[in-house]
This record gives sequence, C-alpha cells and structure tokens, in this order.
Amino acid sequence: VSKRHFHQFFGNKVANAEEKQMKRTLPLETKLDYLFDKYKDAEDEHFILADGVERLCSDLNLRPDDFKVLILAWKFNADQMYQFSRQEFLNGCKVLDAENISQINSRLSECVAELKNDPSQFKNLYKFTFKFGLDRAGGQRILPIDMAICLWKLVFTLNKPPILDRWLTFLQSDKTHIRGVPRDTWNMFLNFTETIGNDLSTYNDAEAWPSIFDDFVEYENDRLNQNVVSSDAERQNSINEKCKTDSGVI
Amino acid sequence: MSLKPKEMNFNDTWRDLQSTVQGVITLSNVSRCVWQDRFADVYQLCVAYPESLADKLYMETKIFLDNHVQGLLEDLLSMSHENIIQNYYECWRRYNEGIIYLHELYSYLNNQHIRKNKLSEAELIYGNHPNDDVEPMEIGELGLDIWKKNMIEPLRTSLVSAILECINLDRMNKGCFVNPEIVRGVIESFVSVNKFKKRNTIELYKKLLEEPLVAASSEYFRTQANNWFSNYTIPQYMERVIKLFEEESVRCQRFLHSSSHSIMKQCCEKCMVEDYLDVLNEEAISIISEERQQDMANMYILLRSVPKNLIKYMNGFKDHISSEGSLRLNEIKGDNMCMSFVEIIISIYRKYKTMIDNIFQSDKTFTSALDKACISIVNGTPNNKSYKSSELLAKYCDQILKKSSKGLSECEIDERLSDAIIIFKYLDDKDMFQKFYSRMLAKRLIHQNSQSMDAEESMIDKLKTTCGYEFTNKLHRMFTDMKISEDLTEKFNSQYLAENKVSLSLNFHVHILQAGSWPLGQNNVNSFTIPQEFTQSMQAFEKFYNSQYNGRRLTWMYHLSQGELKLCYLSKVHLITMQTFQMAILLLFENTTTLICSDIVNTLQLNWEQFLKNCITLVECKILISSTKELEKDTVLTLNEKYYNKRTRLRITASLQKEAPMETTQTVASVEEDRKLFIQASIVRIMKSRKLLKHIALVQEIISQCTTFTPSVPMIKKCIETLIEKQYMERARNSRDEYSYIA
Repeated sequence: VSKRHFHQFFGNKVANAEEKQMKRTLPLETKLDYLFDKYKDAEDEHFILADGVERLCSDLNLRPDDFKVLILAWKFNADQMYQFSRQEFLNGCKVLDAENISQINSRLSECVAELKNDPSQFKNLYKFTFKFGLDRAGGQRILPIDMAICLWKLVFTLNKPPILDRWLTFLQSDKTHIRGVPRDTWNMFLNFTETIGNDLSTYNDAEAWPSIFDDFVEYENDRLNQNVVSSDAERQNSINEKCKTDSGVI
Repeated sequence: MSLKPKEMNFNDTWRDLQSTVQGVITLSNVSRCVWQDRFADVYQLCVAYPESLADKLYMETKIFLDNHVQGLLEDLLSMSHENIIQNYYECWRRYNEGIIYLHELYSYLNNQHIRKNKLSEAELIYGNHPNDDVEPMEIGELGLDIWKKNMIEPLRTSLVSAILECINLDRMNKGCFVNPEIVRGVIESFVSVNKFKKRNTIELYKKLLEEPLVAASSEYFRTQANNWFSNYTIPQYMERVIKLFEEESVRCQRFLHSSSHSIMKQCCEKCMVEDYLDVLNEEAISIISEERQQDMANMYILLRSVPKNLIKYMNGFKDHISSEGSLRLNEIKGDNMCMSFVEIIISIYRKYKTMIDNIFQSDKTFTSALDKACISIVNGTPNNKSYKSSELLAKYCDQILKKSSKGLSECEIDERLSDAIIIFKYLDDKDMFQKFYSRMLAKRLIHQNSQSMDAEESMIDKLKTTCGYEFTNKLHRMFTDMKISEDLTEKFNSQYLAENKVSLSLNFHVHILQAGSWPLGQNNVNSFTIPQEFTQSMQAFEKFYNSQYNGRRLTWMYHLSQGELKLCYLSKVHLITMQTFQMAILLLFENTTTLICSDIVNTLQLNWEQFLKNCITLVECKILISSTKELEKDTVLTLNEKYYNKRTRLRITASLQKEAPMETTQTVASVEEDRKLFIQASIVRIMKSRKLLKHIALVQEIISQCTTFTPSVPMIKKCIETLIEKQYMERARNSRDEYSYIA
C-alpha cells in the first residue's frame, strides 16, 4: 500500500518532468509509446488490463465508473471493457490530440461539453456503449440485464431522460423476466426516450417499437392505475445500491 | 286528288278546316271522307303555290285552340266548385284525346314543317338556341302547352288543394268522395302536358303537387306519431307505423307518379322513425334480450330505413348471442365436455340462423353479426384466450369417429361432422385443432379404432374444402400410409415368405408410418429387449422391407403396437388383445408362475414408468396377481391360473390409449413453436420480395398470410426482433418505421 501511495504522490511530479522533456524532444509516436508502457500489463505488453486501467483512471483523477472513462473508451474505440490494446491507445490519443495525462484530461472535459450540444455525437457514443458492454470474447450477443442497467445509467449521465428511472424499475420488476437486452432494443431505446419524453400516452404500439416497450408502457399504465408507489420507491433504492456496487468494478 | 302544289284560298280552306278541328277536339262525329279531305287540305295549304301557307295555318290553329281552352275554363268556373276535380278531369280527358287526333290530322304540317325546323337534340343541349316561346311546336305539343297555360295555371291552387283534400280523406279512412282513378288522372295530367318535352317532364308535377303534398304529409305523420307515442306502448307503436308504411305505399301507387314513391317513403321514415331513434334504440335492447320475435321483426322493418342505426341494432343482437353463448358454455362440465360444447354452440347457431331467416329477412349484415358472435363464443374474448376450443372440437370429432360410439348411422355421423365443420370455420386456432386432430386420428388408425373409413375420409375432405390442401396434407398421407402398409403386409405374407420358404411362428401385420407425417415423436421410443418369439418375424420383415426400399431406416414403435395372445393354461382358452409390452411381460411366465417386478424390468430393459403403466392393467384385469397393493420393485407377481372371463375374445388396451394431460401442454407448446417458425418464414419471404417495407404493412401482410391461426401482434414483433438479431433484416436507415431486407 505504501509503495502505491508513494507512486501516486511523487509519481506525478516525476511524470510531469518526463513529459516536459518529451514534449520538446521526442516524436509523437514515441511519446505515446512511453505513456502506454506506463500502464501496460506486466505479463502482456500489448495491453493495458484491469489493473492498468485502474491506475490510468486514478492518474486522470477519475473514478472508474465516471462518465469520462466511458468517453475515453469511446474515443479510444476500445474493443473490450477493462482493457486497451496498444493500437487503440495510440490511435485514440491521436484522435484526442493528446500526448500526456493532463492533455487527455482536458480533452475529455471538452468532449463532455461537445456531447452536450451535439446529439449525433451522443448517438454515436450511445451505440458504442452497447458494443463496449458485451463480453464478446465470451460470445455474448445480448447484454446481460445488470450490465445494461448500469450502462444505461452511465451513458445518460449528462442528459438523463425523464423516463429512465421508471424504465429501469420495470426491467428489475419481478413480473418481467428480462434477462438481456439485444442490440436493437438498446438502440431503439434512445429513439424511444426522444419520442416519448415524459408522456407515455403519446406511445403508439402500432409502430415498429420492439415489443418490450409495449410491455413497459402497459406495465406503467397498470401501475399508475393501481397507484402502488411505496414498494416501487423501495425497489428503486435497492437498484441504486446495486448499481453502485456493480459499477465500482468498471 | 292531285298532290301537285296549287294556289289556295286560305280563308275558304281554313273555314272548312276550322269546323272539322272543332269537331275533332270535342270528339264529335267526323266522317271518314271529311277527315281525309281536311287531311289533304292541310297538305295543300302547306305546299301552296306560290308560297306555303303553313305558318299562317299554324297561327290560326293556335288562336283557335287558345280560344277553345279559354272557353272550357269559363265553363268549368261556372260549374260547382265542389266538383272541380271531376269536372276538370272530364274536360281534360276529352281534350287530351281530341288533341291526339288533331295531332294526327296535322301530321303533314308536323312532319314537314315543324319537325324540320326544330332544333336537333345536340343544338338543344349545347345551347345557342332561341327562346323556347319562339320555337314552333307540333300541334299536339301546342295543344298541351295551351292547356297548361290557359287551364292549369289559373286553376292550380284550387286543383291542388282539392287533390290534397282527397288524399287526406283517403288517409283518414273516411272514404274519398272522388274516385281514385279520377284523382290519379288529374295528377297525371300535370305530367302528361309536358310529355313532348325532352327534359324536365315531371318538373311541373313536382312543383305543383309533390312539394305541397310532402309538406302536408309530414305534418300529418308528425301529429300521428306524436299521438301514437303518447297513447301506446312501443310495440304497439311499431305495429301502427308498419301498417301506416304499408298503407302509404299503396296510396302512393294509387295516386302518385312513380317518382314520388321513394320521396314519400323517406318522409314517412323521417317523421316516424328517425325522430324517435333514441327511444327506439333503448327499446331495441330489451326487445332483443327478451327475444320478442314479432317485435324484433317490427323493429327491423322500422330501423332498416336508417342504415347507420341498423348497425346499432345488429350489434345489440350480436352481443346478445355472445353473452348467451358464453353463459351456457360456462356451465358445462363433466366427462363429456366436448359433446356439450359442440351441441351448445350448434344449438345457438341454429336458433339464431332461423331467427335471421324469419325475422331479419336473411339480412346479410345480421348473418355477419351471427358469425362475429360465434367467433367470440368459440374463441373467447381476446383477453381471455384459450386453446380449449380446438381441443374440445377435436375430441368431439374423435368421439364421433371412434368405434363404440353409440351406434350412429352413416347419415347421423355425417351430420355431426358437418356440425363440427360449422364450428371449425369459426375457430381462430385452426392449426391447434389440426395438431389435436392428427394425434387423435393417428391413434384411431394405429389402434384400428375407427368406426368407418368412409366417415374418416369424408371429414378430411370437409376440412380440405374449408382450409385447403396444405391443411390436410399430412392427414392424407397418414391414410396413404395405411393403404400402402396393407399392401406391403399382404405382399410380405403371401409372396416373400413363400418365395424364400420361410415359415413364421406368428402372424403379423405391419404399419409403415412416415416419420414426418405422423405426430408420434421419436423420443417416445424406449429401450426394450424384444422377446425371442418376435425376432424371427421382425428380422424377416426388415429383410423384406430393405429389398423393397433400399436405404430406408425402420424404427419399431413397440409402445404403439399390440398383439393377440392365446392363453392356453386356463380352463377355457382366452384370446386377449394387448400391448406388446404386456405380451412381453406375460411371455416371461412361460416357464414359471411367479416373478419379481425388478427382474421383469431388467430382463425386458423396460423403463419403470412404462412397465408400471402396462403391468397395472394386467393386474387390474386379474391376469396377474400382485403381492402388494401398489406395484413396487420387489413386488412378486403370480400368474392367475384361475382367470376367467365370460368372453373368449377381449382387449385390455383401451386405458393405455387415452390422451394424457401432459400431451395437451406439449401440443400447445409445439403449435406455438410452429407458429413462430411460420411467421419468421413469411417475414423473410415478404421482406425478400419487398426489400423495404413499413412496419404496419409488414404486420398486415403477415396476418393475411396466416390462414390457419390469428397471430398476435406481440408475437409478430418478437419474430421481427429475432430476425433483426439474426441479421435477416434491419431497420431502414432513415426511417424508424421501416425495415429493409439484408441479402
């Protein structure tokens, strides 16, 4: 533990000194290689794995479940959660136009600002998030429901749709046995939030919505008719708890 | 007489002519030769030399007729006003007839001078013609025109009010003082005076008579309706209105021009039905629910006039049928549910069908209401859907077609099957019925349990007519298999065995059933050690079959086969038909009288459930005696050597052939699965041909392609999602509501 603290405490200063030097002298490729090597896995030099990602996050001053980490993965076009390949890292930094940690950090803040104003960029990020969440090495094609819920909360950090909480409650309900979210449903959910706003009465089940939205709207209408509020509020709390613990892993 | 034009003295000729005209128009006696001379005079005047006197003749005639009618009017006015109708009619009748003759007398003038100068039809239609007044008319038309101006115009008010009075008296049933023929004649004169006109011949009639008549009648109908409504019940009211409808219709025929009939009818309906719709509608509900047939018929006649409202009435009728149906269906229970199910629905169907024929005059909208009601009775409401009906209906057919059903004649069987078809047509889940039916048919065929092959085939033909070849395809193949098996067994027994000089220890009969056509399922085949006694026959047959059809694989379905066992160890020889497994169990007792259950199971390699099922029957019918109450692994079975049954031949298979409840849920699940595949296949087919398609259009096309069941929209959506997931299709790039096919 003490070694780690030491590294965190002094490492930055050392790194800053190094970086300054690099900025002056070395070609970009080499600088980025250096940066990558700082976080690369001890056993596989082509990848930054979970441990390295954690260090990277802490150098960036970010919690691993921060929205900006998702943006980073998106900008790096990361193929898998918890890891960056060397190629992804190098290309990603070039795309970001960043060659050190502080530049990455400031560029990420700029990205957040851009995302707020550009729906098409957000859509891009949203679609990426589904792919990002899949464990494709394990052959997953459908996002497991717990993962989907966490990612939905994360991806909507900036602009939370009014319907989101109710949607997540529905997914966790005992009455619905939903185990996973297919890509189409994930993508259509963004359209769904845009179309529906906060008013479920505008929903038209004769349109081409995935059937799970039909079920959701029906569930909500039933719930509103019955006026059972208290138990759902409780459930919502438990979901929040669960999500915190789940997302801590990222 | 010469036809050559010559100089004519007009005044002399006209003097002679005028007196004849006077004679003709008053229908006096005009001799033939005078007629002919005057006819010639008209000719001569027209062709006169040096110039034609036709125009002059025309003018003089016009003045004459003018004066004549003027005179008639004066006569009329001087007569009693009360008899104006009779007097006018008499006058008109004579004048009208006279004019016809006069028209004849002037035929040359008509044909050669007036008609030639007349404007053609085209000129009339396309305008550019001078004022009508200037246009010379043929003499007949001229006469009628003068009548119109000089007679009808001045008399119109008094004539019309007299006519209305007549009609009113007729309505009040006070007897008309005037002969209806005369009234009608007067009314007709309003039309006839325009008979030479090419257009608007009835305009005068409409304005003069119809308008005031409709106004007066409306008033009368309204008062009457109001009066009846306050004094009578609605059924009585309806009776009166219908009577009035009929009387008015006769009245129209009697007095009015045919163009007025529909207008008067509308007027009647407006005042007596439409104005009271709310009350009538309310009454309609109780009339239907109490099934007061006469009132229902009357209500139908009343409401028929307003098509929009008839729909309300029809829906009330529909709901009444549905609720009666569901009420009665809810009451059925017990063993014979399928029988009461069909009987109830058929009795409802027949009852209301007769009602429609008798009361609603076989109205098509009511027939379709009955259909809709039956559909909801058979299938339940969309929220409360069950597959029960398909199963019940299939069971009903099974009961009818099975042996031992209470000795129905061919004719009765056919009748009941037709009943089943009536219900079948209303069934939404035809595929579900098909599954159940084919399972039951398979059992009947395999266990040779059918009452009559003719009846079986006629049922399948009926299904084919209703649902098409695809639907009965598999059922047909099952029949074909039975036929082929018959021949094969025959060939095997008579030819093959003789040729190869094999003699079998036991006779047997084989059904070769194609795996795809029979709803049997391979997974039912259990392990089983075949008794020694069977092997020779089976091997021989397999050899024979392979020589007939190379490369086909035979699977023996022991659990479906049965045999006849001759029990010779008893005081009387019994011939018992039993399942193969039962035979195998009994055969083990060849050399011993007691065996332990677990040994039997081991020897035969049977699974325990199969053994239990089969062995219990043997114990129950006392061929074997069990040492314990329930069969356990260590139970000792003893052969009952004192077994006795009155009958020498019997079968103990029946209890094993019953459909277990497990099979029902299996059937439902497998049908659901089939449906999904069917929908997915049609989606792919549709998308492949359309490439790009709107969601709603796709859903509609799928529904139209599903003839044997009604797919639910959620199911269709799920299938679409599956195909998107499998990348057969995707959402179109620029439109959220459209799909495109991925080649």
